[in-house]
Amino acid sequence: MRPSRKWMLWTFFLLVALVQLFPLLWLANFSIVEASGFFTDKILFWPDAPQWHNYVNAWVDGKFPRYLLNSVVVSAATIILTVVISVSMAYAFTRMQWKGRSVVYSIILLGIMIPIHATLLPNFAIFKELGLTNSYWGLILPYTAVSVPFATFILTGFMKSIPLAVEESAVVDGASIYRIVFRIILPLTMPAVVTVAVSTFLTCWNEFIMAYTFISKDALKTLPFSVMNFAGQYSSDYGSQFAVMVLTSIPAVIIYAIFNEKITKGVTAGAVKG
Amino acid sequence: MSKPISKSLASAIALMVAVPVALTACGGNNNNSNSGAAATNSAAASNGSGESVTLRFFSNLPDRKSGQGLIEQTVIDNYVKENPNVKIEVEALAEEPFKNKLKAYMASNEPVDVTMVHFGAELGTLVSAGWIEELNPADYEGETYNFLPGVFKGFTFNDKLYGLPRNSDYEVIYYNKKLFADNGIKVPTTLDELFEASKAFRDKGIEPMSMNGKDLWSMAVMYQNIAQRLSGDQNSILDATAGTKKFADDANLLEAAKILKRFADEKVFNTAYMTMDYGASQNLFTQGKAAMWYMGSWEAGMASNESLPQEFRDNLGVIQFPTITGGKGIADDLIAWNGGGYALVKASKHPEEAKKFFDYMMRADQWAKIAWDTGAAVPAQKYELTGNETEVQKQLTDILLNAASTSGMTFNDAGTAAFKDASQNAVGKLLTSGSPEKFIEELQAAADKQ
Amino acid sequence: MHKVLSNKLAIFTFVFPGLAFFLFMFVAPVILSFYYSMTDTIAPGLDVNMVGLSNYTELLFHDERFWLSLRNAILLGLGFVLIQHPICIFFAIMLDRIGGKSEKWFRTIFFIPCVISVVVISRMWLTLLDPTFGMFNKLLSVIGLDSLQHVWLGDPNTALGSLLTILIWSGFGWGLLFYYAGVKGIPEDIYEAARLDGAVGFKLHWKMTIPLLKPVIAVQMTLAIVTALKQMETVYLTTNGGPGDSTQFVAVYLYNQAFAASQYGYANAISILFILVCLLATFVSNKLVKGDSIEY
Repeated sequence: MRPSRKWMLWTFFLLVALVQLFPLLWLANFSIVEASGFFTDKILFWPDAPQWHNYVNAWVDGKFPRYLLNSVVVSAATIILTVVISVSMAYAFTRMQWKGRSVVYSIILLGIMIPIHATLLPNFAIFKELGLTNSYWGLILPYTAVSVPFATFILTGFMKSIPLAVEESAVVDGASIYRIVFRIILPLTMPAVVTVAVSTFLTCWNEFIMAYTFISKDALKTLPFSVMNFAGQYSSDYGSQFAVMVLTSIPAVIIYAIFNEKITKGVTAGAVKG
Repeated sequence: MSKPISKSLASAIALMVAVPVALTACGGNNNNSNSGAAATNSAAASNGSGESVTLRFFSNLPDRKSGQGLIEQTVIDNYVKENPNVKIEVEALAEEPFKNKLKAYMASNEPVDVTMVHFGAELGTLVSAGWIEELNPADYEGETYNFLPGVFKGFTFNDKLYGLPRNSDYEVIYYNKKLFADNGIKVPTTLDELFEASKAFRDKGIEPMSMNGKDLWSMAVMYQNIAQRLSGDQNSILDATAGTKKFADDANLLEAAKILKRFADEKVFNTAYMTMDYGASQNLFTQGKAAMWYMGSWEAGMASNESLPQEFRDNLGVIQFPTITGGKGIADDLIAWNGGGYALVKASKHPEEAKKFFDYMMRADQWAKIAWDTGAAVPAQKYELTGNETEVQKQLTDILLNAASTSGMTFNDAGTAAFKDASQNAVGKLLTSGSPEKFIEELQAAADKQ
Repeated sequence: MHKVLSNKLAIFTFVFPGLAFFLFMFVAPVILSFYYSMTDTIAPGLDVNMVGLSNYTELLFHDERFWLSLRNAILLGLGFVLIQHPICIFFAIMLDRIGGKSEKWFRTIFFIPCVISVVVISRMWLTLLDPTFGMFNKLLSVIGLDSLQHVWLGDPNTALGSLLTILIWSGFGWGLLFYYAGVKGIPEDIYEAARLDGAVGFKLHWKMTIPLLKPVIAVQMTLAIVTALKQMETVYLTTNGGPGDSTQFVAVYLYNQAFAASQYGYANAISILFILVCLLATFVSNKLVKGDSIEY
């Protein structure tokens, strides 16, 4: 590429990067601005009196630690369940030989297409009957159900790229099928598993409509709910609302920063061939 | 039928104000005077029958530190203090999530014990689902409760009572005196003046009137307000809703739609009103960015809410909705109702304890007294002036005392939930893209479906 | 080898949990939903009145709002397909070309909005686009474009467009990631060969990269359309379908009919039609884009 064009590209990319980041910077900035400061003409500014106590409000009244813990528990359980279920299914779909495999694969993929909101109403009734509302399971189960189809899709794509020779030698050594899948194939699929784990994490971390329909015990609620409810509680205090939004976003950004490279790798190998 | 009710309501309050001292027994030093009832409760508790129970309380007031949320929490704390065996678990959601969650609870027959309810359509749905416990009106007569006459209207279905109102709600315009004075703008008493004032504010770059348009109901109530100012008839729109006449029968209803549309066309509402929820519209007003706010009497507490800017609170005033030249309605006609309240839930696991707490809460010396004393709301029960009222409270009291007629209901709440949804949606359409004629048709279609 | 891989018990153990999840979480509710869709009940578990297919006829022949919400979904889908995805593809190719450390940095930054909760995104954009104190209008005023200031989400003419902008902003990273992965999967020697044939720059990518990306594009387009149809949270939290139904979407409409309007039976009829529409859309878009994919 010619240098002039490279510079043009650079400038353009920087501009877009700014567009992507700017709203978030603004959010962080105004989380320490007092309510009346919102009507300023300035776009970004350091307030004369930074309202750090907005973060105290968010942490204490937003019950941040409690909701954080719930989000972590629900996310972790969902990720584990999703990975175990999708890895074993993906293996059955790519390697094992059985009738109806492509049919079942298509059926599972339908899960991506079926709108979860259409199942929200009846599921509420079913969960109620089974006593699942007001327990972590009331979130873990639907989140897993939502995550599995997409995870299976990614993992199936990835497993196709692993050479069959790997298992052949294992079979010769007399390894059982379960050992092959979880001890030999699983480590090889790690990049895709990380992708799946992170995307599942994001689903759980950010989902709110089921969280607020299925869960009523305050002790079990997750972070997005905290944002929703805090908005009602501090309706006239935008600064504190912004603070709770910043706090909620931080863990997700950190997780992403850590696994960034692996996600790309996982998608690269899996998504290409569909 | 609303006229006699309002007359007696007004005279009841007038009586209250005239002879405040005589009734001290029911108000006054709150904790001591209840000691009788409280003692019975705690006696029951220590007698072993009151093993520890946890009651579930569902509320639409997530802010527990000011305004009505604080009153609610204070009552709960009072009760728990007097009944150590009782724990009350509060679940409080913001208005819109609350409404949806309530339907979900109803559907799943959730064993909540006491819940906040909105009158009319919402409570009607809950009742027809069999989720709400019936109350005996006779239990709530007399001085312990001191309910104003006629306040059970929106809580009564098929002549049976299913909940008790917590406030006297009526629609007014809150305004910022300083913004009017600084810009030399006359506080409007007629519609034309209101439009002129709006134009003047617009020219100065100030939002004339804040409106929570995303929630839609506020604009539906305003429509009813305009229609009443035109026709001078509180019942016309309610009759049309009930199906005893047609919306097209009253030409004022069409005219009112045209006027409401003018509000939007002349940019009376704040620029972003269609995406503003309650909190956002309130914020615009309390931060002094909008000159007026069309809202109900339950916002009396703004004047005493210390989290709001002092300058704003000092300049807060209340006016009645303007009259319309040539219209038959007068400024003293009020769109008034008793909207918010509480109800007992049938599925309760501790029905007796729940009722005890419910009765305690609704006593005149609990919710009603605390509400008035803290200036956070205008109760649906008799209250006495303490002499410490804020200017806003006094103005609100005057408006209620002088009411010539009250509507008793808001039309959007007078039908089924489906009617409420459809009629409010029609209002939203009217203000954005629809025509007044189409609007009347849509209201009629919604009423016909009931 | 074959024996191990056709172990019936193992296949069952591997597939059953996932399938059971599917049956429990998707099939069972859909059946229940279908049942309720033929009633006029106001909530599940209450008195049920069978009304046959009348909810469906009402929905299909008398309900403007339903059709309006489908139309909006289609417009949004077109927005994704015609605006968002071409942008993503362009960026994916350019990102691959820019190379080095900056490639990684830009990729990371572009993706960040994807990790932010939809609740945060919605509330944030609602304030950003607020005409009174929102940053967007201030920004326009700073660069001297006051005349373009607007009530973005509050005007029926711009609400859907604003919504599309929010969704493009927040979904850009995912699309980019998948196309980028696709670009990375194209072997460098194919480019070498093409260059030897004299293809460069734009022409090279149009002739080589895009066709090679076809499988990814096919999948992504289908996902884009389904995403548009399924749109719920962002709408619910910003405009709630308003102003005047201009941003009404099926999922929002269905949710409000079930909860706000207490028309549970009717809402379930919407659910069932909604699922059918999603499946139909998937089928059609698969047929349309898959047509002649190139293997390499």
